[in-house]
Amino acid sequence: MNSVASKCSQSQTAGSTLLSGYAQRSLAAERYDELCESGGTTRPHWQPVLDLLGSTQPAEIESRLAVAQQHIRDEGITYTIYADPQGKDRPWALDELPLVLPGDEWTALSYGLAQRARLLNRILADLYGSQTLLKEGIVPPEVVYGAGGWLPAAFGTQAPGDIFLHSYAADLLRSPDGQWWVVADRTQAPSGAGYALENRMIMSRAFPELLSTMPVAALTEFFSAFRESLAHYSPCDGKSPRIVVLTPGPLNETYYEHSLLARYLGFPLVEGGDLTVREGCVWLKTISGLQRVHTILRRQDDAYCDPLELRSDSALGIAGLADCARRGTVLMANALGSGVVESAALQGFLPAACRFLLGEELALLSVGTWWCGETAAMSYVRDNLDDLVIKSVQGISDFAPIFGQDLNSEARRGLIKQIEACPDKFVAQEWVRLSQAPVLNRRPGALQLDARSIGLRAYAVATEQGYEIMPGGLTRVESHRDARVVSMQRGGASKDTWVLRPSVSDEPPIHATESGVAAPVVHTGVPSRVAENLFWMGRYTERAEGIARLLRLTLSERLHYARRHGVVALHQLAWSYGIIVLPHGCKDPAQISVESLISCAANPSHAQGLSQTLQELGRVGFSLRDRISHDHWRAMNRLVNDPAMSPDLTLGPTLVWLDRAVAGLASLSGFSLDAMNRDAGWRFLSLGRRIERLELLAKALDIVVGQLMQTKAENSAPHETNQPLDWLLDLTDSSGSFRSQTTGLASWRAMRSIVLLDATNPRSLRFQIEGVQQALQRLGIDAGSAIVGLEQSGIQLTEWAIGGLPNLAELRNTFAVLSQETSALNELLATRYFNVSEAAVSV
Amino acid sequence: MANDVKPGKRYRVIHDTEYCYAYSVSNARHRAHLIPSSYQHQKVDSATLTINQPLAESNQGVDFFGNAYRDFAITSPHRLLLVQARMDVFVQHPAWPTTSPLWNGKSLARRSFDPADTQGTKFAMACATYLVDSPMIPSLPEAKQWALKHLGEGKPLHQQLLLMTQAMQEEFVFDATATTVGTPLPEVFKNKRGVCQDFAQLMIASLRSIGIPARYVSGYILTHPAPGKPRLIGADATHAWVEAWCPGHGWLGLDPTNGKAVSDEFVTLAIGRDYGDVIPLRGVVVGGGEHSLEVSVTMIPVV
Repeated sequence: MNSVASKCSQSQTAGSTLLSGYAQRSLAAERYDELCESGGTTRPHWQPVLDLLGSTQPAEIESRLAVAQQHIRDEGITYTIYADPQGKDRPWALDELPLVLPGDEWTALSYGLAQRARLLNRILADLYGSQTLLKEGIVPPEVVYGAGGWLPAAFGTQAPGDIFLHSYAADLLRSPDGQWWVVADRTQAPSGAGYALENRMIMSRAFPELLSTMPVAALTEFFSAFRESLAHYSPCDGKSPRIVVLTPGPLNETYYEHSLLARYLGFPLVEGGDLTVREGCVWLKTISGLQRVHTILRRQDDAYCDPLELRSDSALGIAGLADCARRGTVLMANALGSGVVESAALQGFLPAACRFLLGEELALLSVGTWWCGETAAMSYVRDNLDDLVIKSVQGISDFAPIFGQDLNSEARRGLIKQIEACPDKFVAQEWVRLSQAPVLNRRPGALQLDARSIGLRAYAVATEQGYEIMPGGLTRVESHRDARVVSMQRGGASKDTWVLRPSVSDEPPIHATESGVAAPVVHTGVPSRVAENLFWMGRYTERAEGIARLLRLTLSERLHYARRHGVVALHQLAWSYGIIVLPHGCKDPAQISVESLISCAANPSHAQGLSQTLQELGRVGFSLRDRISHDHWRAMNRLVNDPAMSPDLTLGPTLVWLDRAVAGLASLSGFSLDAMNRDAGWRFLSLGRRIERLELLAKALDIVVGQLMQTKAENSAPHETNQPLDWLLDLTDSSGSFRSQTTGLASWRAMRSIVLLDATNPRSLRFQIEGVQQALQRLGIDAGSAIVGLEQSGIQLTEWAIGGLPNLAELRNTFAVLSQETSALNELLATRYFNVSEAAVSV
Repeated sequence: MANDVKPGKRYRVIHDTEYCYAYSVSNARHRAHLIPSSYQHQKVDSATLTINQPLAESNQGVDFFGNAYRDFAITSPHRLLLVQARMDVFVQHPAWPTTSPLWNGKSLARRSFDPADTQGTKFAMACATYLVDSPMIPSLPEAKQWALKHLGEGKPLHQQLLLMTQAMQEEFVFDATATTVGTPLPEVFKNKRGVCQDFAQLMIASLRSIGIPARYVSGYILTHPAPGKPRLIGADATHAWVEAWCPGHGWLGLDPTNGKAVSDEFVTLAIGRDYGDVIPLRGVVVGGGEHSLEVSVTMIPVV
């Protein structure tokens, strides 16, 4: 590979400041340093990274990093911190420098990881089956039954292909002598593989030349192996398997990753309410009926999976799922109950279990672990508390790890007493000094490297050929020096992990998908909840645009205040559209203040205002993350998170913001027109848009006609219908259509057919009605009496187009019918399509 | 061990559960632990479960704890669900130990884990599940203090266990209004009021806290009508008690609600770590709105 290692202190050019003092600090830390050898020389596999940093201007590095940060924001990559009192999603934290690992080292580690996954899988099959490990005294039953993850309901599980553990993650750390150790096994629903993938995508934007010149192993094959393996093991009797990703929902801290995985693997993302059990099998509720589900890649914890057998207070579960899983009619990846082998107490028994079950020596060991239930272990713990970390057998939810070295002698005695009282509940683990890796220390004008503690989460998936290891992983880096644990929950960041292929000359053959197994393509109907969310995405997008247009128009008309009718009508509309509340005791919409209009446009606490509508759009959009295009998603994020929305915006910036909002929303409409398949899901989105637009339009027309009737009654002047109605043209964005057909004053007489009857104007009343009717027809909804009013209005419009408009009173009546019709339609859709995801309750 | 096994008694138990919903339930899925199993002192002659609605699905099985269960699903709309369990059971008086070791304050849990120690392994296989915390019975420091106070004297363990059972009855007040199914254990302990389920779980918490395996038993107890009065149908109730591990003897049935050892007037329905493992009837329904739940139990001696 690369030539000779260069002495840190002798690095040339800008690199001299880059590494100044790094080696000395690194040696003083008494840790393994990923970058420098013990003599202070840099490890050769880091050279290309150092070269790039050394030869690039700090300003350019800064701009690359800014690109990465922008990407994270635009993508909406988030991670929820439980400790955050507001429960806010926090942008994903990625450290700019990768962790580079040489290929030969990785090969050895991979073997150990695969063996460990194989072992844990066998242990699970044994514990939930014949229990020979317990009967033969290899593992004490106390360790298993006392573990937080033990699930009696999983006993007797017939896992398809005898695979309990489809996806496995190990939290690794490296001791000062360079050895890798497992500090924790993740077996229930290991998280982070998706973030590792995302990290790679971000890095390929920030450092494309490094990734193209260094022999960094790609991650994609790992995911396709996973996809194929899930399909292979699906209990589908030779038919095409249907696989879903089960998420607890957008409130979960790694929801972003769930949607990413679903999108990347090509499986629908579902919540518990989307699934149901019938005839001993699991089914997906779609708008075209129930569809059999063969495999569930779950990101939901055991206890919440089945309210009938497990936690009855869980609203997230699927009643009867545990039974299906036990019978093997559905593949759970991972099997219910697989969390039991996460127990730290088990780790000390793994070498013996490995010999017993596999006839092999355990290659990749855990850090020293002592289950205090054993007398000998207890006395070791008593004597060596300083070097130990005390954990609960039930996991971190019971209590946070206690470092013996932190305790004074009194606290130490107290802890020992506590452990002695119920030793079975405690595990002691050797405290290992974490290795450290370089991070960029950004001082003005100069780049410098600093060292931070790291841990590595590595991933394995079950395949037909055994466990396959992701060549990479999620490196976690602590935010401060000398940290003893690394945790994203505690504010750490992550790093991309670059595993170098063993030898550059040994180019991996570009093989086509080997064997005859094509990736599974299964048509999945639109899940009911997705249909509902698409419908609301349509409505909220349209509603936000309507609000933005209405407010922009009202504010600017008010600035001129020339056209009284317009201003009064607009205020009335803002009120009847429900976005402005009249001051207490006031009945005249003309009393609405400019402040309240501004607040409606920008203040996040204005009820039903633009900001809140956008928030709703964002919420619905978030849960559709896997269904909408990448760019659509980014554009929506930008709009929803626009910094203009604040409580104290003034008039000028408000108008600027409204312009931006209208343009942004128009582009969202563009995405839904051009970047989505015209499938059933899209029809719901489209229905949402049409219905919302119909509602605003019917309300606006009602006000126009009302005004006309009023002025007519007041002075019965025949030309009153000539009042200019430019505001209506502006609101409906129809001035283009109008000017192309007419010259002169925008009077009711002149414009009414364009706004009402013109079937080619996408903002006309007729266009909305026909659009709704068409969408319903395509969906095959027999709407019945629910939309009789709508149908009649459609017929009327056609008649009027031929025979001329009726009098104002009749018109007004039609508009009133229409605005009621929209809510009837809403209900129809809800009972027909959305309510199938109605929540189940425990009794 | 048992030296004088008394002749047994026969019972018929009728256990009806009725759910009444405000609105129609469109879909329901239930699990019943209403079929008794046979044990050393109990033989089941017959057991049936009748459900007043057409069943879309029905399954039965045996759970990890050895209890029979029945799962059923109803997909036709209904506002009333009536589940009727009938069982004919033969019960013998459980043998009461004549001797047992003195309890020395030490946990019965093993401390040596030599695979060659088959005796210890066998014990652990039977008892470990009932030594550790369970979902509804977490470890409680106050329960431990209470247990030590009542199990400290120098008598054989089985006698001490009975004394503890009596103390439970004396110190705690039966009060059906004091708790619900979901009342946390520490609260019961503080208020010293509750029902059989609370007392059983409390005693289990106490026993486990000092290292004595203990399990939860759901079943029925014979009530005696006042002299000269007829037995009232449906006036009985489901009952819950405790089985504690007594070395040299095995599981020992103790009823903290009544402060006595289990006799031939007890019918066992199911055994688990806590109430959550043996809920007689649970379900998940779609629709229904508010609902009322009526349970009526009759236990009749059959001559």
